[in-house]
Amino acid sequence: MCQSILAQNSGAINLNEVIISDAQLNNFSNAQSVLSLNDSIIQKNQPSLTSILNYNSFIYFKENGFGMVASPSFRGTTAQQTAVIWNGININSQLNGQTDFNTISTRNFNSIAIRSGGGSVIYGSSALGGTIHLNNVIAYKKQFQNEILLNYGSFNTLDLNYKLKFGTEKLSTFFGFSRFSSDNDYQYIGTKLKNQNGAFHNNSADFNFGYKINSNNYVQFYNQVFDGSKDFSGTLTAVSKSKYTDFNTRNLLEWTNRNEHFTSKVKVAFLTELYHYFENKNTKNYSSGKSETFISKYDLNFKINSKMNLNGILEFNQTKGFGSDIENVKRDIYSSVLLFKHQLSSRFQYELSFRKEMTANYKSPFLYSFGTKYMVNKNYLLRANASRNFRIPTLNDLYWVGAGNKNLKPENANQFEIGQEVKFKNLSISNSVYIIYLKDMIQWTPANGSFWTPNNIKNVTSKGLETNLNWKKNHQLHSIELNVNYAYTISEDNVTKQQLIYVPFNKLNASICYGFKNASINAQFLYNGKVFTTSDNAYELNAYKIANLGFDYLISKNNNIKLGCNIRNIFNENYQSVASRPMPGRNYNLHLTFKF
Amino acid sequence: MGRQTTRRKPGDLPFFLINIGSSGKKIQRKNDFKKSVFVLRVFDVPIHFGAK
Repeated sequence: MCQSILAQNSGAINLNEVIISDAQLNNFSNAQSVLSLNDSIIQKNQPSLTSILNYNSFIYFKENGFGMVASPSFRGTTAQQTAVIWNGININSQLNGQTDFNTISTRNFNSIAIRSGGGSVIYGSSALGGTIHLNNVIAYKKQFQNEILLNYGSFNTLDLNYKLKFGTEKLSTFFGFSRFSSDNDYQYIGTKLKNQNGAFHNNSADFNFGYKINSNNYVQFYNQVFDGSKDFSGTLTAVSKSKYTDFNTRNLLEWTNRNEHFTSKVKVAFLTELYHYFENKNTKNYSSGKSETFISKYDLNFKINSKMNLNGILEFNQTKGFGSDIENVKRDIYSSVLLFKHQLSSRFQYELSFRKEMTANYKSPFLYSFGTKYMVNKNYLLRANASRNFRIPTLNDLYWVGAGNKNLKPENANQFEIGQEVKFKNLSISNSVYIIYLKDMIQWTPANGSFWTPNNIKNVTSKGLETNLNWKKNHQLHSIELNVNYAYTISEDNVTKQQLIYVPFNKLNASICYGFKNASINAQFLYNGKVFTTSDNAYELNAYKIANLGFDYLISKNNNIKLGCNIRNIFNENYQSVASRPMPGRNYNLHLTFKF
Repeated sequence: MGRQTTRRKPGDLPFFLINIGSSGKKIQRKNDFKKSVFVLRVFDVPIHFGAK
């Protein structure tokens, strides 16, 4: 019952009878650190992507109160410099360039992978600090399974999930629905105040379909719809009446043809995002924005021989933006990518890749990455990589009425990293050290004191260390697993030498799970060091420590009913993730999982 | 659902960037900007006060 985290580059997916759309995650990430979270750990955590990554990865999160807008800082970079990849497709907002991690429900994914370091050559814009991969696996096997999860807790928080899997050797179908809602009216610890105007609810539906035409040809369809609404909660000193709604759809159709030497994939994707912002939810006035993205991609992998792989990708990406505050715009981007992998000897492997984009909207840099992996012996591995990555200006940056700057250049960053992995029996430890030189960072500044506009004004250097430790042991009816992540990060403005705001020097999380027969107990711990909240480093938020405890028990003979409970923030830590926005104190929930 | 507001005027603060609390109270002091600006960001968009 304690299965959780797959350590580094295990590949994780057996490709014989399953299809994973994001093939490059397995094939061309050998020189980088990849942490995979399987569906067992996904079910153990709260449904938002924020929660699962906060407690199981190196990534630091800022949350404007529980369930509110949440954004990451990965390796000292900004929210817009981490790309979220859904089945191989970059889904960061075209409008603001980032993903609100509380608008991604994780319940319906088979695996979540965290790929540290640059990934722009493969995944395009925003993959500077790292990439988060949300994968649905399409399996061709006989199955029929229903699963229901009911989770209810403090503040009238409800987490519902229903999953249906149906398949044969030629057909695979998955449907999942999840709902997450809360009154979210928790008391601010040490005050008589409550979190006001913080209620939220969201619904997420996923549908995946695969058909095996014959042993060489497969057709897959992936679909996701997210519909969410949240009131923006107030702060310690100000009441809020605002509300924000999201409606996002993602569709991907893919045809895979594979034979002895060639695997070709033709992909067509259509993504939409729509928001409404009500400054005062009691009135009918709102601002809105919408984008529609069409992607077509041809991906050809040539297995030259058992030791060499060549992969070429051609992509066309068209984005249209509309809204009350941006000009109606269209952006066309043509990309070409070449990836090469060579197993030079049984111990030494290298990867080499290039990307060039063509667009009329900005001057695109030539991107590269180079990585190597060397197995010193069966217990010890060394890896190194270097890459150039970029982030393109968002539609808001370019076209916001009266403020956008059409002369913005893409941000670009050179990154260097070395790492090592030690595996000994049940213990694995991996370390990475890195440095990122970021140029032309886009920031909004009040030109002339009042007119806010974005400019390429900042150069930043980020450097740090990441360590992951995993240990597991099974003995007769006992199982135990320990997982620890630690990140040390320095991210400085090159001119002022000040740490960037909301980047902690230290972040640590740990989880331990012990199982015996049908029962298990698990504990999570999170430490976030202090962060500065102003660019002159004059103001800061205190460090905080949070601990959670959970119990699970399989109550039926054939293990298809599980009952459990969680106590979160058991020491009732009074903490803020973003200044003036207190987070919840101790809270509880009960959950029931039923499979049939 | 309601009605869309008219387009904001040039120079208006983009809502995703900064939201002065609806009560008029202001949240976070920025001493490095002469006019003492108080900000509350809705989204995590990088901002910078003072000269370029």
